[in-house]
Amino acid sequence: MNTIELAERTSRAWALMLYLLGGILLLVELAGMTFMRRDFVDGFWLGIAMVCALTLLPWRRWLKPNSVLNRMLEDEAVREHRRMSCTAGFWASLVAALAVAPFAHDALIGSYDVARIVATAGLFAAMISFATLELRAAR
Amino acid sequence: MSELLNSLKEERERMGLTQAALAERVGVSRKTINTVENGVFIPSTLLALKLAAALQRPVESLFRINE
Repeated sequence: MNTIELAERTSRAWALMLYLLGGILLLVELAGMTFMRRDFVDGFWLGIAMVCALTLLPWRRWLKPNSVLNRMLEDEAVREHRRMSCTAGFWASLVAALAVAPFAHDALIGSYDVARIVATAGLFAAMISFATLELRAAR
Repeated sequence: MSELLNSLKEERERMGLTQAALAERVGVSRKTINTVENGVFIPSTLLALKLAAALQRPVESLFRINE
């Protein structure tokens, strides 16, 4: 298998992993806010959210900038996809924050839940759009 | 509104290259070549020059503005 094929396979696996992680993040958030309001679920959500945030960073380029494979996995199109997906995440966070603000004002939602909703919305939108853009580009 | 058109696919096929082979010559992933060919992604000047060099064509014959 040459570098191009390896990059393609890794990129596809990465995109599928982003879908999976995004789904888990959303499920844990929904569970934590409804029927499983426990410390363990809160901690699990925090761990998953941090892992999700890390997946949006170009750490491959930071760790091994001279690797041919890493350069392909972080080329121009990928950087553009990352920019677009982070923008999508920003807008999703903003919409989520504005949507829950009235409920937080009336003390119907606690500040911790507000923080979780805003973070989950941003991360979920960014990860799903990044994975979708990557898979669409590989078609 | 101006639109960037390209003849990357035609030039690549003229040289008998696959997207993967061109990607390897230029040092990018195949999906970058694919998105440039489909007009989804506008390449940087650096990448445009690398593509032109790999296809042995002047850059202005690969990319043109449709106004």
